[in-house]
Amino acid sequence: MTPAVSFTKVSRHFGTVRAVDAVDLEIQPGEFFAMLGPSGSGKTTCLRLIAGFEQPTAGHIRIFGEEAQGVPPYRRNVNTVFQDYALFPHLNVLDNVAYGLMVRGIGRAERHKAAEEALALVRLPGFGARKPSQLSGGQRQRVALARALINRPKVLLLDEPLGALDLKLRESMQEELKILQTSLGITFVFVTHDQGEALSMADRVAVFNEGRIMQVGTPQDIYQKPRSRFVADFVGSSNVLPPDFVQRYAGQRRWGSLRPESIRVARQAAGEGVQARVVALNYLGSATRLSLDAGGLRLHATVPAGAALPEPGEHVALTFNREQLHLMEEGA
Amino acid sequence: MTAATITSPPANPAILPARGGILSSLSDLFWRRPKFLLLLMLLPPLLWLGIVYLGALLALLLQSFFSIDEFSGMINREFTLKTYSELLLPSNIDIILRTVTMAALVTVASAVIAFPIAYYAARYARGKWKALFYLGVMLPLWSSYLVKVYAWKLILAKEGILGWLLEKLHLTWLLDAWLSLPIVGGNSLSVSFTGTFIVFVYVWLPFMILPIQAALERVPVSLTEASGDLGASPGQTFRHVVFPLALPGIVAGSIFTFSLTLGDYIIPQIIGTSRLFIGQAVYAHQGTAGNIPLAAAFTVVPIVIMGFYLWAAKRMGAFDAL
Amino acid sequence: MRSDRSTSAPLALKLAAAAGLLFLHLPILLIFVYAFTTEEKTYQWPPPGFTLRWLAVTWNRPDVWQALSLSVKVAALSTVIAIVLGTLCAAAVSRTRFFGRETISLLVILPIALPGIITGIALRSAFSLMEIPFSTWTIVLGHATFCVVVVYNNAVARFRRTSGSLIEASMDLGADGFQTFRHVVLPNIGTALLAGGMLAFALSFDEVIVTTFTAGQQQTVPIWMLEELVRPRQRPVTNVVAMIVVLVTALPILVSYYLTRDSDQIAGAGK
Repeated sequence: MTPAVSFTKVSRHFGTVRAVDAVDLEIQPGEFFAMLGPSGSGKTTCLRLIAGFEQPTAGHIRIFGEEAQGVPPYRRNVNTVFQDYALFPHLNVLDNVAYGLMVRGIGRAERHKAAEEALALVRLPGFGARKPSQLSGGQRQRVALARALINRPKVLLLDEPLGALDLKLRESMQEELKILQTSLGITFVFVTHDQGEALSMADRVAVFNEGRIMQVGTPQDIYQKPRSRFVADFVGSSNVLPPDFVQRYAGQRRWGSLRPESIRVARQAAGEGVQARVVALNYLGSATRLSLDAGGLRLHATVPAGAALPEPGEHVALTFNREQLHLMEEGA
Repeated sequence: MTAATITSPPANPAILPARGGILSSLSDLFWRRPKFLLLLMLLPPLLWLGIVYLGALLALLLQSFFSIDEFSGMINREFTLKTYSELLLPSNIDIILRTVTMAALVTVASAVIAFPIAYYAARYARGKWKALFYLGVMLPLWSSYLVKVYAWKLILAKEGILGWLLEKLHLTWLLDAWLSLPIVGGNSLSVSFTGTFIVFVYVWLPFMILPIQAALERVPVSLTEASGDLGASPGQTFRHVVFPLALPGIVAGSIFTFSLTLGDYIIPQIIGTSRLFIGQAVYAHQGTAGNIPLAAAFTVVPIVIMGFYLWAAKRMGAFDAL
Repeated sequence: MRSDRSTSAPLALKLAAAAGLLFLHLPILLIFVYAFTTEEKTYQWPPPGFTLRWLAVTWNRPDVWQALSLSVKVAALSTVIAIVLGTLCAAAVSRTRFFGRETISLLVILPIALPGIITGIALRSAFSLMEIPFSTWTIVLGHATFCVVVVYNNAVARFRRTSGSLIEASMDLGADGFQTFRHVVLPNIGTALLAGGMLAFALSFDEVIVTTFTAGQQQTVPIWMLEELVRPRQRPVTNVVAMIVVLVTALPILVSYYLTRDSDQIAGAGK
């Protein structure tokens, strides 16, 4: 199958800064793909390269097999939902949504009808006459979505689209986006720095750091089998274990990672397992997170609600299943 | 409404074909070469300002190194510093000092009068009053310079409104006493340095108010509250917090009042004595005397003074308040 | 934002501010009184009587009409040139960060930062060096040069407040560069350009210092007034013309104010 988007050794340099550095990437048609990374990691630049707002310094980008080199944004059948929504302030909601059809020379009546339908799709029917300034953040977000979908893009790009929303709205929008994507079957490429968002929404995730892709995989892969310390650190709250420690339990000198929920905490100081001292407790609602000091190594463990909790300063013994200790790649 | 209407139809290319036509290919070119578009946008204004304005300035500067033949009155196009040495004649030094003194006095007076207006507008005026203050400064700023000068000719004339007012208040003696003073006095206010000074202050005042107001708007109210909270009296708060923060605005405003006074030749010509200011000297030399080299050399004086002034102002961070 | 907490101003400050504003406005208001005085020879106050006669006399003065038409023509031409140059410059400066941006800002501001007499004499000596005869265009050349900055300032301020992604959004949705300019850029900066244009018009209409050097024998309204101030012929006509000038320049300033008043709200809506 032809990938929806493919990068072949794509670089984008700004002066001496390598915003994107020799990236290879394939995004499959119909996929919900997330680009995850800290700010400045190159994920947004990758998105802008697909949209055509930036041009690669080197390498090739293909969209459904077609070379994108030298093709301006307005000739790419790819649309974007901007981080700040970028709604046209001088147009009302209906004309904002109909803009893509207007510049393609579609007649007024036809494009307004299509815009009404698109507004209904994002559950904002009858909002057409309002100005963007009269909408709430969540409503603007939906208008931006409707506007980007009206051209029936082959790929929809979303640049931190939920970043400006409050937590509750964000969760309901995550769900809606996912449902919308499934029903439309359009390839979604989604940029975020929020690992929870990436893991919960995406079919596959690419983790970016310093202009390079550190790992691509399903959320389960990324979460459970981080290939490098960076991924383990950035995605979730894994305990990163140094080679010395790993050698003692797995017999190999490699970096390892262990999820906090994989660690069992026993309240007897002289018991089996790793000896540690409780530094602090954080109550999270569904669980309690312990900060532990195991002979200089800082570890985290979560204890489900209802279980007996140790006191800060108390000495405990930590145990875990060998198979839950994930070994990272050599040299990672 | 179902999602189906929006789903991609089968024949939906990922890359749309070029639309063709000159505009379309130009648009593509601008996207591919953003620097080219930038150059194209900058070229007209840069050519205009570079050729018309900088070109003229350079031509002027060049002429200040020419000299005038004293017998024929023709311009001698040979490089010389002779014209500059003429600037150092006592009568010319006199003109320069007079102008700089006037510019300094006008600047100080404008700052003193402007501060309360700017302070009130920035700190206390709200809503409608704020708009009113803004327009109240903008309208005089933009209204006709000559009309403003003319209005003061009406006011300062012997038979004008000021004389009438002082007579009604039985204060004519005060005016007479002031006018009998040397230097600042004269036959009437409209032919005295005092008159020139008043009109200068009046005409440039709005240029001082706006930057001070802009600087004060940027001082958060919490700063003065913090100062008061820490035990400073209102006077101390003003001296140690408000004034230092307003200073860049005052300096920015003074760039205008100073520069505008240095170069003006109309106000002292209409309201003032027969003793010249730099502007008048330039005008006279290039006009009737036809001594363009000396006129050019004279214009270099305000340029140099303003150069130093701008340099100092920049160091004080005044440009942010412009 | 902070209005709720601030108390009312001290009385002395109120008085000083009010006195300052009065000082700014009374002289201009005085012009309106003098336009109707019956006194012909002096600036006598209070006016001995009031008449509308001088309005009619001024109306029938061909020299006033000629000056007015030249001024309007010059101001209109200069405004158009200033709008084009100022907008281009503002667009270039706000679009990209490039080497020399500061220099360009400085270059645009210089013609009003340096005393007008310098611009004037520089242009005049350039004209004489190149043997260009005085015409409407020599006046326009000077005016447009210092008018660019007002349009530039207005446009830069608006560009700064307009979200940069609007242009990208437009292109993303299928509009090419020209469509984007027409449908997105122009509507968003239009009022700012109009406001800048109004100010440029007022500035040009009123300019005298540079004009005396670039006009030759031609008379704009300010040059006409300057003549009357230096060598008065019919004072009441000067009074009437002064009043008309105040009205003509106040109008574009008020319009420009109303055009940019709400711009924060308009331009900020994209966020």
